[in-house]
Amino acid sequence: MNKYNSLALKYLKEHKARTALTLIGIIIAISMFTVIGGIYYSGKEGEIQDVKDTIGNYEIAFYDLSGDKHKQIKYNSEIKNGGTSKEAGSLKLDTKLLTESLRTLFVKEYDADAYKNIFTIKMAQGRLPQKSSEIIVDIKYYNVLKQKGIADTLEGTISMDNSKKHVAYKIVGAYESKSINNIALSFIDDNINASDKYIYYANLKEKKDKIKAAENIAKATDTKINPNSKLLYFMGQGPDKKKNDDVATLFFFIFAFVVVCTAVVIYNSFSISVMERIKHFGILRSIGATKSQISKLVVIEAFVMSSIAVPLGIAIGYLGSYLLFNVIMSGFLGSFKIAFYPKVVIVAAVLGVATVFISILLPAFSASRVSPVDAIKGTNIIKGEKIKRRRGLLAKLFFGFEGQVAYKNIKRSRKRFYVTCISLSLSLIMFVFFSNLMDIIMNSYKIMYSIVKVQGVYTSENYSIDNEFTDKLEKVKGISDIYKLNYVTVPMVVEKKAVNKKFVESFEKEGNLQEYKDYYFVNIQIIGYDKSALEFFNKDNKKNIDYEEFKSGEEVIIVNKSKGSQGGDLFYDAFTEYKKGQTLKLPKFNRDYIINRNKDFLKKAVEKNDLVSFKVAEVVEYETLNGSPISNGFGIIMSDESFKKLTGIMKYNTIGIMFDSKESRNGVFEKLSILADEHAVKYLDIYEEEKKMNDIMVQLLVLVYGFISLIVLIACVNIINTVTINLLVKKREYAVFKAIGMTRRQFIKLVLLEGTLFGVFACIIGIPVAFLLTRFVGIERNPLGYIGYVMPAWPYISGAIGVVSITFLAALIPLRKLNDMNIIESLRVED
Amino acid sequence: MEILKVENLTKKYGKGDNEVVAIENINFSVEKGEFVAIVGPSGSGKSTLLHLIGGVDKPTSGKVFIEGVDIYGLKEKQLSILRRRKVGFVFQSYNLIPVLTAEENILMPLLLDNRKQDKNYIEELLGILSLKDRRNHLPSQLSGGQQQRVSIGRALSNKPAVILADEPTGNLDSKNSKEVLELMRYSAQKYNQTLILITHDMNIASEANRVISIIDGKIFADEVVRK
Repeated sequence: MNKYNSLALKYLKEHKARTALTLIGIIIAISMFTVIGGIYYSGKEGEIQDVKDTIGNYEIAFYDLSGDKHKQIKYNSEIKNGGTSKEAGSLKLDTKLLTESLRTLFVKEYDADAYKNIFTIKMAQGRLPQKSSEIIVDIKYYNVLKQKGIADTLEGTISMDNSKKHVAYKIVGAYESKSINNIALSFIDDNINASDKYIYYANLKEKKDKIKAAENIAKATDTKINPNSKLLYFMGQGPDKKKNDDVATLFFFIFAFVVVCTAVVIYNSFSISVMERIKHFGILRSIGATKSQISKLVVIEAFVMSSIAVPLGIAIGYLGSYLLFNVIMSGFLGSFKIAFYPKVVIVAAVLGVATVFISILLPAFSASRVSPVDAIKGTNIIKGEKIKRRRGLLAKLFFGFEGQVAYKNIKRSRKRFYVTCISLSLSLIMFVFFSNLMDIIMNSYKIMYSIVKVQGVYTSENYSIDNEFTDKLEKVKGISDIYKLNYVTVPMVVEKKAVNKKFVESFEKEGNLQEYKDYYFVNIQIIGYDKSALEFFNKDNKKNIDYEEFKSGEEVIIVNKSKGSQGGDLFYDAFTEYKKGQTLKLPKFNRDYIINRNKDFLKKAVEKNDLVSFKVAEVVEYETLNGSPISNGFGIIMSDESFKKLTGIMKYNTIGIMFDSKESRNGVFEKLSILADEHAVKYLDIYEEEKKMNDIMVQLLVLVYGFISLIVLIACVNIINTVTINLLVKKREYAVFKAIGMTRRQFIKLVLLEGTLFGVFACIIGIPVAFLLTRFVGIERNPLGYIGYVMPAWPYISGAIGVVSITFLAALIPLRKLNDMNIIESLRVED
Repeated sequence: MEILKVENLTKKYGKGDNEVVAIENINFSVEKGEFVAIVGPSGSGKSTLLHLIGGVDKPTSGKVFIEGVDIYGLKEKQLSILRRRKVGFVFQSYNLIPVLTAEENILMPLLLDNRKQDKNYIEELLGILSLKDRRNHLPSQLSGGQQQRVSIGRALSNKPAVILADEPTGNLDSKNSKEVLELMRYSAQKYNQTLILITHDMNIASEANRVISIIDGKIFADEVVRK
């Protein structure tokens, strides 16, 4: 570097504080690029690994392969690798030692390639099957077998497509699983039976369009395909490509946001530094420096800063995210781990350098434009900074003469004023919006869990809970109450006159209003209560409904509050206009209807007037035992007997339990879980669920506030930079004030107001925007549905106090320097 | 009536080998309504003397009395208040606040004092300074002469005991210089104010009642040129 160019370095060294502040801004930005990029790719990779582990490491499944079609696919030149699988059928075990639900297993057979390449089977015990007579089951199931003393062999009748045969499998191991899934895995020998149907799970050589390539193979071989949509989605292909693109767009916006914030810092810093040196540039120009030589000085500064900030930023970003995700939060985020990606480093570096150079374009240009005469004269130092006359009466009213001068001073450079205010406002908006959003999500979950009053819940997908199960449950010590419940949501008929017009209008607008004669077809959640559940309801709602009358009188309770939407806006209202004492009619149905939901069935029932009448005994807003808010429909609670008669379902799908105490709950958790496994039902400890959710919330808070803190940090650097320079370049004016008789107190007030007013303006811009954003994006479109949420004031108050304090502190930093200045010397500055 | 008294005033900068004596052992006093010119070559210490009289710099030793008050015996706050009530400064490079209008610049000492302005007086002042139609202009919209007139207005607005002018015509052409000087003399006479003016232009000095010559930080001559 020659002597002339080293001027740039000298300047950087001379102004250590500003150089450091600007460097911090750039470093934070580059760190953020690294972190965001790292999260994006690591997240994607983690998801891909998850899909490979849970669904399988294949892109396309070719199925129904019989005859030599299996061979055609397996040895197809387009196929990279794969594995073969066959569904052996459902195995009905001979043993009477197991409960009904555990007596049937679905047997799948994999060949060696499938075990090796496609499916991740984590063995908890034993080994993988190596013969078609060997089998493995999930560990929970295996434990039940062991308990019953039948863990060596599985004997029974296997049936597949009307063919049945008696088989005996030797159990050689157990694979890890969180719940009993009734799936057993066996082995396919090399002998492919031409009469059987196989599935070949394949990965293709084609890279760009896997689906199209697979379709071509299927066409050529006359086979059928089923893509692994989830894997393809994460690879940016397949039917869900758009979803993937949306995630990429979101990350793009976050990147863009950080770029803008950083550009503001760098631009501000460099334009101030140029402005401050206008006189120096003028002198250089007058002794013969060309325009390009002047702008070169600024470019060299940017280059030096980039070369320091880029490696530091990348290192800090990577190490920071590694520490946060892989060490501090390790285990909290499932399989998510931050990995090192060279492409992230390259993108972060390029983006960082590009941001720096784009931001200095204008300052470098204005530096080269300096006219030697103007600059040396120093009469109109800041070119292009035409001061506008302002009144500042409001500022005078609130803060006196000092406030008025401060207001006029900060608005002196309109560009810098707006840039600083906007960057501060953005931080404020982000803080308020995300704080509210987090608050909404937290409260949504809290309210969701508070609706559920029971402390433990058993659920069965196929209404399989019988008295045998509840009898066993009753024997468990520590349980105080057991509620037998049924929930089913199906389209039903409701008299037109009974439906709230608001919902009818919304159905009409959305184009899904279905009607027949005097009835609308709407989704109704039908709930069956046993005696104890009704007693709980009475207690909880301060009602006095007698179970016997409720049962024999075919009485029902209407659960009326429902979520609807109109023109994209959500609303919550009573769905029906039913009153206590009125009657309503419902058709009898059966399990088939629950599955196929054929509307013709409803029409026929209306036609034949084949409807059962129920009397409304009560109308409530929510079902508070185990309910969740209902959308575009309503709920009907009836006795378990009425439920059986109406639906034909004789068993239950939900059991709610209450415990004597928290200790008893903890003491029997294991026992209750085993009971669930034995009967192939799911057990949820509400307390545990809440705890899990709280953990997730805490992590979410760390991530969101971590991100906000970094953005706020950039804004802080910016405001400190701006306010410091704004104040220091006006030294002479302050000296005049002091000379003319401004007291120390008045002077401190003036200087502090010059910082704080930025905060005040940022609040004036930021708070309404944050309010609207929270109102219309956060609350109206809360993905978790209605929670009766009231926007709290604390994010606004703390955000505003934060912003004003930051600006106050930003002015406090240069204040000492200004307080100690010598009036005479400062007056002489430009003389 | 004695309005200003300077007693054994000395100002030194630096220490040891680097010590520079700016002014040394200066003594004089000024009567109310007097127009004093302080003359001397560049670097003779006249600006330092003016700053010490105005209370913006601190002497190494000696005292300055304004209306009998020892200004360096005052606390910082009282000194600031004294500056805005008893002293009016006129600088060579005007030193106006660029964001304030001409009128606001003139009113600045009053605004800092939170005192109610005497509207008639200010109107009269604007009239004398020929700034009535320029009152709402920012300094950048005024010529050099006009800016200096605003600066004089600022010095007069609080009806101070002493007006201290540091080469007020140094940045002006001869026509404007003459006008500004006339104005200062006229207003000083009209309001019976004391004017101390620094210059190295003997023509300007000859307009004063009294001329104090300073050379190398010491009073070389102090003579009354006209009554």
